[in-house]
Amino acid sequence: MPAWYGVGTALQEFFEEAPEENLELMQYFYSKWPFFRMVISKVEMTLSKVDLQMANHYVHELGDPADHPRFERLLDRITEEFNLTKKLVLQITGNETLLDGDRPLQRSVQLRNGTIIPLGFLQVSLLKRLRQYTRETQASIVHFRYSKEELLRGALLTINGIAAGMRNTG
Amino acid sequence: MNQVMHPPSAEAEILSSSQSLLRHRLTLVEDIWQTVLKKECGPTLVAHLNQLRASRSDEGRIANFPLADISHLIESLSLEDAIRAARAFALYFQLINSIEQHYEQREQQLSRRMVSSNDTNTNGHSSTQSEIPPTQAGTFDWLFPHLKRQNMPPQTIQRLLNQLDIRLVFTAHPTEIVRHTIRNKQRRIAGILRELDRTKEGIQPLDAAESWEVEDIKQQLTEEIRLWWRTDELHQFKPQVIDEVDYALHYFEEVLFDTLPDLSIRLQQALKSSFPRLNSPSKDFCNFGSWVGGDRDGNPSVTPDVTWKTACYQRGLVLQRYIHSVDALSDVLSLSLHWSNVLPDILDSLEQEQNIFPDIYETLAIRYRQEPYRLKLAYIKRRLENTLDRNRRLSEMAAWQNKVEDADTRVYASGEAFLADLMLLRDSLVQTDIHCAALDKLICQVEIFGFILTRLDFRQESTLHSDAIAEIADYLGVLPKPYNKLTDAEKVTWLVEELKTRRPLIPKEMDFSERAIETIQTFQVLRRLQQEFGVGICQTYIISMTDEASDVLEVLLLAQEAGLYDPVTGTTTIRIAPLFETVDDLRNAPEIMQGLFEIPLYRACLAGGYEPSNEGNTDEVFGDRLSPDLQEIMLGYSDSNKDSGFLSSNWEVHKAQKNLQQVADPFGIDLRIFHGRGGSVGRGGGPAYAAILAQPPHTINGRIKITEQGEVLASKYSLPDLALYHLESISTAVIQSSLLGSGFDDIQPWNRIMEKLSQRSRAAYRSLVYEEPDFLDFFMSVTPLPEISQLQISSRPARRKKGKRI
Repeated sequence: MPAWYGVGTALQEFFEEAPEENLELMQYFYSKWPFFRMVISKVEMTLSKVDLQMANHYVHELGDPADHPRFERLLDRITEEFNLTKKLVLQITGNETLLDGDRPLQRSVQLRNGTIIPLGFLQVSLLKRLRQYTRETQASIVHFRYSKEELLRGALLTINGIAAGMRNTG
Repeated sequence: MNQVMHPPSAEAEILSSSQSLLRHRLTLVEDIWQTVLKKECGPTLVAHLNQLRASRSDEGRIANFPLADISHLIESLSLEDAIRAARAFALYFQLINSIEQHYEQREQQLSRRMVSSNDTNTNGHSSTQSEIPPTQAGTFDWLFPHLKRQNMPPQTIQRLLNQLDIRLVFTAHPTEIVRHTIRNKQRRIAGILRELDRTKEGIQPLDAAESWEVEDIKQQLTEEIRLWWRTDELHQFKPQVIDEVDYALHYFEEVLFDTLPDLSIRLQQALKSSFPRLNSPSKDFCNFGSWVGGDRDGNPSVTPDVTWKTACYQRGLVLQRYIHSVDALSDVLSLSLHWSNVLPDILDSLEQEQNIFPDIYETLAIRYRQEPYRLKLAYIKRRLENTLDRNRRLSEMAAWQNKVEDADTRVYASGEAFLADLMLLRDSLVQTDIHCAALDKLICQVEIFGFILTRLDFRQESTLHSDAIAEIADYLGVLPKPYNKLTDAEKVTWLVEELKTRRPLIPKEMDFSERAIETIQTFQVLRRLQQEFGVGICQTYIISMTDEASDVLEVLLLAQEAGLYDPVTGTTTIRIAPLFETVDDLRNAPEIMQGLFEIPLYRACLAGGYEPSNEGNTDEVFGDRLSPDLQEIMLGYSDSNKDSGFLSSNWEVHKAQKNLQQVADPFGIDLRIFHGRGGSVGRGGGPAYAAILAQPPHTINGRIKITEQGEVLASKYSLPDLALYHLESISTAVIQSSLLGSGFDDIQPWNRIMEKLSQRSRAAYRSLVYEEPDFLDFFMSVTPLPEISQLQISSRPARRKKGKRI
């Protein structure tokens, strides 16, 4: 669930009221107010693990082709909000890229991303096979080489693997 | 986060060498991982894997490789190969998680050592008022000198330390049931890494030629990883609740049992060096609770039998630990009457023991004639073993329905009785000028863990209580219309009347639905647990989906039926904690609590009865400071996150806390806020230190309760020093936040701005998640959610049935 969604819009609307002044105010909040700083840091941490290209791949592979247009529209909305949120959060923290303020976490996230991606691809592929199995055996079209248990096991492995890779997000 | 402060150069050097060591180890393990896979799966698959991993760009995003090619490559894999590939990547993550943890711990140890050596030279004068040097943040050694510099009055600190009470509560999480087998592998790998550190450190630079010793260690690592590869990582059966209990308690056995006493010592030392005249807080100022086996909300497999068994399981675990420790003490305390005096109390006690255990006297009296400590320890051990035997008998399912047994001098009735025996030994030793560290540690452990190990919280959904009461009222025919048709005010009136009389409502033969019977029995087992284990075993009863005052009184009425509340004295042995989860519920919470506090009967029950004299309900409860006038309230982050997004969710929780405190203050009631944080950021997780400092300042007062979700236990509690660091930083944050609130939370214009931001982000979030008709379809078809709910990975059904909520 994209719980970060909406943060960008809220900040944007607030900045539009008084662009420079309000940006400065947010920067001041960030440096002084522990509550605000905590919220922005959490947004930053979550954004750093969002991968929209990957999301796009999930949509294309797992969504029914007939659904692609309406799903793509949603994904566009999410992408737009992601870019906006990222831009404004960076303005507030004064960093160039996400997590610049927490190098060890940044390195750790980057190290993992390289392997999360292929694991995501695998997950998509296994889920696709599993869903195809469910559809086609229900319609009793073909007999499958693999049992449902094996397919489920594969899917579970990818879920656990991605959870291990993401650590505190998910 | 601390760009402002640059660490001194020696520190920087160590940290950077630590960083390069980390990089080196990561490369090493990656090489070994590849080698193992080549051996186990052949070079073709490994080539594929590398091809896939090369598909990232430098920032770790997809870029370099055409998407279609990757897709094609993956589609062409057979299912066996796809599963192998998934396993290989999962293993890779497990390995680098282990390594990162190991080196995080190492860095922690190094920087502690360095800070303490710096301190002696420079008096720790490096920090400005508001910035904390990165290596010291969240440590007691920073905290107390800082309080001193701020001229914090010692009485204020003492008052806070006296009521310091930090509770962390383990909860079960479906994806985190790792087999013991796998955890042992992880531990062995950590052990091998430690050896590797020992051989290389300081002896030679990292890239110099490697010795045979290093080669040998690498070989061990390779073999260990090969064994791991050939092991099933998942249970081949659906886990039972008791497996989940076993999983959560593992951290006590392996880590917390030793770490909590260390934490207490660490605080004591830091406090003494800045404030020699202040007293340390109670040894269990930081303590643990568990939901596993007690939390029923939505999990039908947590029955009264299961909770009973869980409590017995916990007791069995501590008893075994104590027996080991007593054995070890017997080795140490070999003092002979020829060479040492003892207090007469010990000799008196030995005489009494002789009558209780004549067989021990017969076999050991001669051998230990001159060694009274050993003889006493032999009696202690036998009594522990008897207690363990009795525990084994009681742990049978449904044993809680048996009658309470008569007291037996051959077993320990409670942890206090065991503690009294240990104190006898210590007094005698101290009087004769001997200090035994092992005995002190055991005493500290018994003070913290008792025979309970950890508190069990109960949680149940409010509708189950009202349904049960509706059935009872219907059966008795005491209400003009069905209970569930009454307004909240009508319910409250009727409940308050019923709470004034000892006349029971529930007949012995219960002619009710199975659900209602189980709800009633849940209170009966709670009562029985308190009788058998002491009130400390389970006190908190959490009501999920609380949205009316009557939800709380219903629980009090059911408690009364089980003997947990006495209407005549107005005393109760449970704490009812409403849980507020959605944004609407969070907003209504202050009003609901206000309504409750205004009911004299409820207010009296919080005060510890109508006449809060010293009778009954004061401080004698073992392992728990049952302070009066305390209301526990749980706030959930997960549902509010789902319904409003996380800026709004965090803000609503923040506000609810402040408003609740305002409601409680005029009644003279203290609050304990229980934060139901999820493991992931989206469910309220994230770094604890910053999160505690971000709490509104007047709401903590040394008391906090926080969930530790199953999925993050491994990263916090697998290694002793990391666990200690984590607990120290939480404790520091609680003290710091209670004493030195930032004051920024009270700036009204800031609050107004935050309110506006929160409303706007909530509106935007809801316009996507709730108002966009395609969103649910989108979410269900492009995420693995439907599959997760089919998997048998937890004793609990995957999605709680909560109507239309996502």
